[in-house]
Amino acid sequence: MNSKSKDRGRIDSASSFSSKMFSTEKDLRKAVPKKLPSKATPSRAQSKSETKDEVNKDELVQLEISKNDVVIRAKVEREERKVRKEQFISALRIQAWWRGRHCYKIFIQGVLENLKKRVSDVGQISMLMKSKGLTFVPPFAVTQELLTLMVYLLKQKKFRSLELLHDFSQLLLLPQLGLNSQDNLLFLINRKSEDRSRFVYFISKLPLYICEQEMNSEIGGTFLGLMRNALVPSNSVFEQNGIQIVRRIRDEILSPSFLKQLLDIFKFDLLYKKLLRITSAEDFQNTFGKTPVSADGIFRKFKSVFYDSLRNQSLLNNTFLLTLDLISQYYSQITEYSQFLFETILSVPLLPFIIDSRLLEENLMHLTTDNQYFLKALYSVLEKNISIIDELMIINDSSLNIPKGYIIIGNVLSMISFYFESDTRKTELQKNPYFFQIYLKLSKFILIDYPLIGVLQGSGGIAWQRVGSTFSAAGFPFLVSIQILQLYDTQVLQFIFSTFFPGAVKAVESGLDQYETNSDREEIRNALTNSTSFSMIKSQLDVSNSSNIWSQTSSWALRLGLVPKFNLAVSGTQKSESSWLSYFGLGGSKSTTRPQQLLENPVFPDMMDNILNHLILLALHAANAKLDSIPWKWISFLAFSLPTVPTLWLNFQQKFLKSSSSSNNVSKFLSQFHPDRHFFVSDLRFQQPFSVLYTLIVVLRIYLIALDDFEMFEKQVFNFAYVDYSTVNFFIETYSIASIGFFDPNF
Amino acid sequence: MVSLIRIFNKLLFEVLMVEPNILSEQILTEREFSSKQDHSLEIFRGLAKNVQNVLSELHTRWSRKPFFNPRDLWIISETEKSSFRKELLASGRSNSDKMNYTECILRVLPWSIPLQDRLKYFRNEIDRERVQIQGSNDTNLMSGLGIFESQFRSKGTIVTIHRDRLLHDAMQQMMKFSRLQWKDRIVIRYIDSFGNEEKGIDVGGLFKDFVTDLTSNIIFNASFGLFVHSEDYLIFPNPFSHKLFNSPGRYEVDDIYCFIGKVLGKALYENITISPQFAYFFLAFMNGRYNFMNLISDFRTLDPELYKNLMFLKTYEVSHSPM
Repeated sequence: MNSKSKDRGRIDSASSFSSKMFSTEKDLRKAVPKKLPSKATPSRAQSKSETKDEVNKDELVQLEISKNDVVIRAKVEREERKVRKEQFISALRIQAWWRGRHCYKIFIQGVLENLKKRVSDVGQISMLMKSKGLTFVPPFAVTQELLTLMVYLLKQKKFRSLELLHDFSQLLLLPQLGLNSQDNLLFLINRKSEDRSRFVYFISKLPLYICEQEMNSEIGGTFLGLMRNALVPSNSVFEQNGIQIVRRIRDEILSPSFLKQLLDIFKFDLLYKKLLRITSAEDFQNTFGKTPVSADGIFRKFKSVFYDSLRNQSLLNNTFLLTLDLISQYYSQITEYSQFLFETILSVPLLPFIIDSRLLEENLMHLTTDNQYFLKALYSVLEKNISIIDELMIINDSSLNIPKGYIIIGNVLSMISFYFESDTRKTELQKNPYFFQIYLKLSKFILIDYPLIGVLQGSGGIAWQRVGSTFSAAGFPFLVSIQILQLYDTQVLQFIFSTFFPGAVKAVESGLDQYETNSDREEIRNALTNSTSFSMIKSQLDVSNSSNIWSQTSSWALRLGLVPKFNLAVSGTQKSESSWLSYFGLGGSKSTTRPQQLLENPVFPDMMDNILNHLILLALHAANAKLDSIPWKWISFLAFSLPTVPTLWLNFQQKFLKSSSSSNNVSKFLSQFHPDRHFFVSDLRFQQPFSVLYTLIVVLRIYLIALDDFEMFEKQVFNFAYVDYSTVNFFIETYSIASIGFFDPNF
Repeated sequence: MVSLIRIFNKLLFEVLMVEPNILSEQILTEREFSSKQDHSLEIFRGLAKNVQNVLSELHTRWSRKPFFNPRDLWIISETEKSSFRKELLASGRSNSDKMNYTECILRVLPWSIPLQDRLKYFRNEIDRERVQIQGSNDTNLMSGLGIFESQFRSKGTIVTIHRDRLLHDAMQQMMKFSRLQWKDRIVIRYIDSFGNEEKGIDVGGLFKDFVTDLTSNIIFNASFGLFVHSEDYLIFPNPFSHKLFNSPGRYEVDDIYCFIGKVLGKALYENITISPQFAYFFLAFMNGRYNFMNLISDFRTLDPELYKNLMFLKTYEVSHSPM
């Protein structure tokens, strides 16, 4: 019993010893203490020798057991210590982090309150000054300091306060930038360049932060509006302050990074993702690609998604307009940014429908009337990127399922068609050669590209898309096809002709003075004043302002623009002049000077030829087109709204045959006319005889369908063959259609 | 107008001289592989087709009501040359698949060749076929047509006709005829009102007599009801004929018109002149490729008054003042 209790006590003492012994890591490395020999009494030595052996054996076993036990225990304890240590470190970290955040919060709040206080101080001062009729412009150093704080605050998402930004911009930034005080401007200019660039750098940082803000971007929108007012001053401000000074500051403010940020607002990768999240990819493809029940519905849906993602309409509008303004103001730098414009603004789906049309009108009009820069910019963008568009037409954007090229084309087309919505815009366009350049670029693109021709022909067309290494066919995006059709709308065609016809009339007026004999004039008049009436076609064409043309008194002369001359000679009234001018959409005496100006512009005549060549190519596609499609509308327009047949016929005779019926001349003409020559469809080039002849024949064919026997025989509409050609020669020479087929070699 | 027609006529003529098959589909497939990207031929072809259409349209108008100088407006001088005529007559005899340019011109620009020449060509072609089928004892005629193998006259198909029921008997027997039988000789044997066969052997005279009798006295007679005449005594099919002829036990009116067409064709084939003159619009329809764009203009030849009123409506400006 004793030995057992002793053993137990030993084990216990060993275990208690060992627990102390291995309390730390270092202890583990200590050697295990050796067992001391037991001190037995000599008297009992012999009797107990046997038991002693047994005890030793037991001790050895016990020692063996306790050794293993200790190792296990040590392992367990090691684990525990490890966990404890980790917990301790984490706790330290959390405490540090919390302390940091807490300090930061206190600091930021301090900054915020400081800024708020100082801004409100400035506000109070400016209120006081305002009550005394003065404007307070805070010192530059103060503004600079506060701007730094402001930008710093805007970087912190949690502490971003757009209300403060709004106040700040109104009280400090705008008066500083605001060009009300010339002294202040000079002050800004006389700053050290690093100060100024720092100032500009901070200003340029602002828009991006505003756009990142999703909580209340209404104020952001207002801010951008204010910025716009400051950065794009009206002409009066320029006059007051001196253009040089203002420009200098603007140029600095308009750093590439600033404009890039403005354009970054239009980065729509996020929007696409959002759209796809809201409507499944398939739905979106369907609404875009197939005939929707109502186009309005789609626009509305799209608009809502769009605004939803950008939260606010005014922000979007203002950003867009500010970008436009800046582009227009700084055209010299536009080449750098055209790529941005192309990639960001133009690739937004249905852009013109998204931007508020009223704002668009006000500002686009402003741009075109003032400096035409927007169209110029658009043109330069198109010219640079037309080949890229070609590529983009087939590359399928994985996130949107619609190639970007279609979206870009559609947007440009819509922007062009925007100008045709009102007469005032149209008259502005007439002064702008870039419109016609853009028209040609797009038209060439559309006419050469086969799938787009399908759209014009009314068959819908196929959009080829590249998926990996293979091509797949898909339906042509419905909305884009609507936009493409707008390019060849009757209104547009009428506009193009209205730009050039009055000029031709002017030329005729001066040309007719050479012919003094009354018989000559009488002959021309008889030939050209025979009336035609196509009331049936009128309704189909739905040409506005042309009701006079279709009445019984309408005549070739009216179409040719010869009536005013004769009528003025006969009756001397002003009324007739206004009537024919109104046909070309140019009512009033004010417009009469414009065509003359146009003709003096060397760009225009060539452009007209180019446009007409495009339209001839359009007519070529009529064969496979549906009857209500664009090519046929165009041919009807040529046949019934313009004096194409007599003009081209006279021109044809004059230019290629010299005299009307000599067979030698015909043979000579034909010798240069062979199926294997003269056609360069891929380059959009035709030899002159061919294009004239083709147009004449196609139009005549349509014309004959509508011409009834009464008109042909009794009224002798076709009697123009008896016209004195030399008299009309001048007219032909100056008439734009006459030079059909000439191509600008640079085109 | 005159010069326009002349120039376009000439233009197309010259084009056909260079490229006779410009309007046939074959030319496209021939060149398709050589130049896929090149649309020039297609466009050129489109031009030629359009010129042809315009000319054909103008010619239709001209033939409806000639304007200006009708005498030689449409004729191209080259076609009046003897070499052209010879080639035209020879073109029918060649068996090659490709058309001679003269034949192309005849098809594309028929108006450019004088009517007499066209008639001659027509007769020549028909006679040659007829002699080949029916044979002839006239060696002069055969050598004139370029047939040098002697062929005996065929016996033909005998048709027995009662004098008092010409149409009925003829239809009963001849409707079953095959195409070749129609082209072959048809020998008429008349039965008089007493049921006796009339004497006389038909070597062509009796058939001619039969056709003349049938057409002038029965078919085209206005009182018979199959045809009526317009104000200027030009005949056209009676729109109400189906009410007269569709009684049970008799032939349907469509069959009768069909038979009349075959008889007229046979008359043309055998060069038999028949007396009735058809109305303009009816002839235009018989052309086979009727241009429906002319429908309203052709309507004038049917009812000038109605046409006039329709034209008035077309140009009438509606006034809002009370009637």
